[in-house]
Amino acid sequence: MTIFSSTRALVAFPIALALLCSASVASDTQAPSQDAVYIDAKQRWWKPGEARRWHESMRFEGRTADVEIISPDIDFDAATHPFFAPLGTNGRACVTCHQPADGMSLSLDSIREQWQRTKGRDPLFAMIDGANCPDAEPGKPQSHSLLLERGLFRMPLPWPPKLPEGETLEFSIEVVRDPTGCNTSPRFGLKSDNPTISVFRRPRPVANLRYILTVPNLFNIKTGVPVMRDPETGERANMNMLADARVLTPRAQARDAAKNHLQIVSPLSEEQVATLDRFQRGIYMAAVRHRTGGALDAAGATGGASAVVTGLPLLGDFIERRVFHYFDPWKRPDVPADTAAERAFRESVARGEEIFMMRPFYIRDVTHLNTIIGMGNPIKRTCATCHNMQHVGIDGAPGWMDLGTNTLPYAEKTEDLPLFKVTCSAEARPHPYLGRTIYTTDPGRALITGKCVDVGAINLQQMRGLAERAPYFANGSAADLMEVVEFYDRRFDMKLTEQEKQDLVNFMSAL
Amino acid sequence: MMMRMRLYASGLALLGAACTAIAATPDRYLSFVTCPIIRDTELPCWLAEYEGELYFLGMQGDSASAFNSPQLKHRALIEAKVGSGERICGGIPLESVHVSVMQEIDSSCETILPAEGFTPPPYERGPGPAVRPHPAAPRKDPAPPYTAQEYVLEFEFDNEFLARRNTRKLEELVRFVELSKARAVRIEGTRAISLLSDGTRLVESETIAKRRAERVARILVDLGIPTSMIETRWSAEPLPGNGIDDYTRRRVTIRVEVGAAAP
Repeated sequence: MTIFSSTRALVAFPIALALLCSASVASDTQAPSQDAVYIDAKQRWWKPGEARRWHESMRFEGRTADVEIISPDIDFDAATHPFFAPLGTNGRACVTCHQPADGMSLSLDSIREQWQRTKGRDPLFAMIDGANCPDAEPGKPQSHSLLLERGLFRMPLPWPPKLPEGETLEFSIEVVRDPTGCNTSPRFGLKSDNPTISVFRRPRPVANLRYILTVPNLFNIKTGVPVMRDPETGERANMNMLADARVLTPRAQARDAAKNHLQIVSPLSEEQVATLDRFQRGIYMAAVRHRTGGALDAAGATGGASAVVTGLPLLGDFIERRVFHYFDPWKRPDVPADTAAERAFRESVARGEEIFMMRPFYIRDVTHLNTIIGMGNPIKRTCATCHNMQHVGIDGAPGWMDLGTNTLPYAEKTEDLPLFKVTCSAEARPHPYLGRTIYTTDPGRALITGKCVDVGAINLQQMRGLAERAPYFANGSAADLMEVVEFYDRRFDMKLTEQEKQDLVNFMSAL
Repeated sequence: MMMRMRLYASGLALLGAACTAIAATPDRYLSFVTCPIIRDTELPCWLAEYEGELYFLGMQGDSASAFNSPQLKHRALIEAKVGSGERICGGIPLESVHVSVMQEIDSSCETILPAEGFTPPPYERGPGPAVRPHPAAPRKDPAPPYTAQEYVLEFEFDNEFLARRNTRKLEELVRFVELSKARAVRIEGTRAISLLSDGTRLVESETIAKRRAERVARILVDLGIPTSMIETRWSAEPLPGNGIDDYTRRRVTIRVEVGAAAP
């Protein structure tokens, strides 16, 4: 795999590049690596089935930061590739919701631009999950309000969940508030012929999967039982896929997404599944250049996707092996920079990394962190305790936790998301911090396991390419990175100063 | 909040001075249910109050720690022996501390004491990241000749969750079964009574022994031991408590039989 020699691509496909990437000639101020193909903002939207080439190394001009993507699947015509081709009946492809320029996720800005550009007719807004409910009136902004306001897609999940042998359902669920109408819909709701709970979630980045899929331990320390096996291969799985780990591998996710998001008629072929699996596992993504801070791999720093390609999926919660070590050279006095603003940004990023790694605060009432036997509630630790996997910042454990983003009393006060009342049975162990009656906008992992302890638990997301894929948290409740920081500051009483908050924002926007 | 903490701390000091510290006699076994208390030292200390005296339970740890840190918002069953050393974080040190978190929420368990000048004892890991990764110790396979082995898993009160120390034992057990070509794995779950220092008998729920045994059996099957090799049973009656080593009777015992079956 010679992933850094994409000048080869420039030689091999000069005509294609001239036609397709005519705007990609780097200017002096936006100089991408000589090795990378530069894609400017005019070409940031990748349309399904579009005649366009995927390159080994690409840099996408961003609104806040340029995103770098490195992939060993070099120089193919994307028009017929199963990730980019509209395989289903609604015109969507995988790329519709996993846009390279948006860090292989999908930003609210891009969603809104597509709505404006196509007057709501882009396949992105397919009624199956791009609307608040499939029976909403097509073409009306209010029918797609959760997508247009929060970047959320509908996830219909069967109720009750199908549980493994020997497991019992521990709670009942009621719909308390249903602004979308879908959970009370006679056709799509909880009391329909196919009882379904609709929750609304953000798409996750399809990138850096070598880290996401690593299985660090045989036992899941959060449940005290072994991590599950992939039913297809019998291999143990990490269980960090999706918000709720309802599927365990990219292959299973591809089949699930083709059916539920692309509305495919026939199942994907084995060849398509294998191609998708190989392609997705090979994508590495990170911010590489910041509007204010300049190159993130300058002045000794090693930001960008190259370090992710060469790194190893190891626990990074150590002083001698930090989660994101790229910006250590920016901690020295007089960091080299072209402008004062650039220097100030780099110093701020370095401070932000120090806060992320080293600033202790009390983490409390977080199910599947504080409840791990031995940890205790509260536990005085740092951000890196949970965001512990080097290069991506997920929790390798695996990572579902109830942080409070979608359970009361910590969740944002909002009226636009459905609200459910979960009642745990008297025989079940109650939720350790919320008891037997829980109000939640998304029960999370509990909709898969049927366990009270899992209500509200959501897998941590990776932290790369953050600047280009707002909003944040699984329910889009943080509009920008400052809102992410302010949630944590409020939730855990971190007592961050305004400067410290900005340092954390700058640090995260440089990942 | 801070005012409440100070009052609480002052109250404890007065009570401590006023009471004859019968409970705090070294080597005396203590068993009591109480709200745990955390002291906000650089690395937090866990404390508990009993009969007007403050006891030191242990330092904040992690999933690999021998000491199981308690949970605010929950009462805890503390089973331990009174130690004889200097006070730590203001509390008389306890030895052989076993903490069980009571499952129902008790919102009155919210006390965080200020550091008040106390310095926690040296500890391997502070509140930040660990210094450096420690490579896992290489596991030594058991050597032949193989004889029957017994593995004992102890549990928190009324809980079937397997802590890390137990899951490690199960991994060792599975390796032994493979190497020894064992013929049978016999699992027995028990439930028990904890005799508290005030004479109260705390009885585990009727189904917990079964749940413990069945959970371990399911895990062993998942780890590759054939169902046909596994025999699972559990005790209906709770084992009696003595206020000394009651935690040892909340257990699953797994006996691995090797060699030919007796005729």
